[in-house]
Amino acid sequence: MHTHTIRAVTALAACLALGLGACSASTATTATSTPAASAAKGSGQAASVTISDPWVKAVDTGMTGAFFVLKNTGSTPVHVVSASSPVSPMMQLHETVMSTSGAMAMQEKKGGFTIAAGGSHEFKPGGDHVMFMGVNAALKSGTTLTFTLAFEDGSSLPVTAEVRTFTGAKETYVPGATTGAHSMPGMTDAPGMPGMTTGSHG
Amino acid sequence: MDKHPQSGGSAEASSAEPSRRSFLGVGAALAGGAGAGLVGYGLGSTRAVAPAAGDVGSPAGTATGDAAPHLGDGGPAPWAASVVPFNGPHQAGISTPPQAHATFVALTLVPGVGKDGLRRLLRLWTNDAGRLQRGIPVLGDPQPDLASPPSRLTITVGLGRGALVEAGLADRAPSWLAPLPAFSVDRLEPRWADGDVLAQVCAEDPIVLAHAVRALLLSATGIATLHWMQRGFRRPVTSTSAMRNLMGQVDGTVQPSETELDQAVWIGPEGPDWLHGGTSLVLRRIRMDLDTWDSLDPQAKEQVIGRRMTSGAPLTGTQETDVPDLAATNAGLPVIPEFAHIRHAAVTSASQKILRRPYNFDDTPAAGTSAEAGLLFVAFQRDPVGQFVPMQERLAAHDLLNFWTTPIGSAVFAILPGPAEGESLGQALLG
Repeated sequence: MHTHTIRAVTALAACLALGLGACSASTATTATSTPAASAAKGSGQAASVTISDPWVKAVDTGMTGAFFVLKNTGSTPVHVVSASSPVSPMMQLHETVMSTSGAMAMQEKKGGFTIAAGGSHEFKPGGDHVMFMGVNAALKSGTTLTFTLAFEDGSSLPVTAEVRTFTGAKETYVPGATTGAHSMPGMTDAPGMPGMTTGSHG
Repeated sequence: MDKHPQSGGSAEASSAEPSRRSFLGVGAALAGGAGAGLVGYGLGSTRAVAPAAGDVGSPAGTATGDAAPHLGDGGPAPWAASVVPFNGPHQAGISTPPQAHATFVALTLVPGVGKDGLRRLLRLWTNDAGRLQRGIPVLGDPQPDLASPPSRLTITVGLGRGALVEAGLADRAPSWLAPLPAFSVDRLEPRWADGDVLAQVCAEDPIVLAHAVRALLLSATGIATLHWMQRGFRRPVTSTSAMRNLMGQVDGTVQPSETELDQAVWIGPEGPDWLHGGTSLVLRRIRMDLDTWDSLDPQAKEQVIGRRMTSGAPLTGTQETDVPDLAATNAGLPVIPEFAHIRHAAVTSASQKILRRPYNFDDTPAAGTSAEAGLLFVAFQRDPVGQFVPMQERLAAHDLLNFWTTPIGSAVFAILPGPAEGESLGQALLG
């Protein structure tokens, strides 16, 4: 419950920071499969998960993010604990939170994400996402790449995502943001915030 | 100039009954204020009613069956929910009854992107177009709320010769994929000429159209840059009135019938394998000198065209759809003059016909003039050199209309076949 409240506030803050009136609810909740992207069926928890609309922000090198809608079609919760891909030596599950200074920041979501039975979870710019670090070869728009989501029970699900040019989602990794380590006022570190200057990518 | 396309391609979804009858029911549905979103668009016509009373210019006539009297009813426009299918043997936006608004975008491939870059662009556009035509935002859409309603959006993609050259595939280009031969009447400006990749984007709703165009341009980032953009308009698909160009002429009358499309429009085994089911698009930007045209009296204008201004009927007939009698004489003189436009545009065999899908343009006039207007003459045919060029040569040599019209832009594109479900545009060419 506590977590839920924080997320709601975070989302609101992100909207305000954008200075735009319309910060509507998720637009991709109607699952529409993308021809160029697919997710193979796994076993265990992975078997009850469907991924729709997966895409990855194009980058030359460095950091980027993957975005998609994860739906749990099963009757028990699923718990995503990690992600991996040949294109990145280090991947993390990220959330966007409000730091003690009031700024938005993204940080690793320790323990991953749990999606209730029948529930869905949107990973999107400015919100939760899968973070790629140390990408050492260009991810070109119009290509596809595959990453793997791992679940608590050891099952895993490969996801093929379309690489796309995107001006938002300037992912900056700020370890310890919620402890006040990051002091920049404003919304400088939330993914998708304009004017983000710390860190490179993109 | 001529009138409505026969269509015949894709039935539009979200419409209960894709029949001419249900199309004719648009007005009634609106009048009833109910079920408008379910009204189907017929395969056969861009207009609800053929030369009808609505075309004679009487205000009462034009209002019949149109949405205007029902403003404020609050119901959705009958076309709003209408989806033109993206997948199929032919791309949408060709035999599709023309939408009210169109934007033509020509891009130049970034030198060096090669075959891989072209493939990436077409994969992105395949994904984008398949979503946008259904009213669904593209992935990472910065303005997702602008993607709907679908509004009969179509995205039609073609390649110019330059695309095949950049991809190292020039040897697979058909011989007609090149600039048209110069015509004596041409005053072409490079800013409206050629292009490597074309997207013809059409919709009833101009907001949806603008969003789709920008989405395609964003996807092209790093692969291709904008060469030209041309915008055009015609009447809403629900209009009962004829398409007219800005000279006032009924335009787009002569079309291949639905059963003639294979002979006239769709490329078959005679063409390159990667174009089977595709076609060619010729876009001629034709500037009209409206100020001098206005100095003609109505009778003279009719002689120039060979048709009545008000009804669009040939001078030898009474209705727009009447076939002109080019042999008819009156007191020894041809009823349709030797210099008349329709005499030289006329063809008899199906394989010589072209599918006309013209749009008007109306840009900012230069100082001291009243109009910078004209026609985006858009024609689809199997072979531009075999079909469009002979017609245009006759028109360039004999058509008195040339006095008031000037081609200032010209481009030829190979329009790719429609992708099957799960396929990408251009897959047969690029893998």
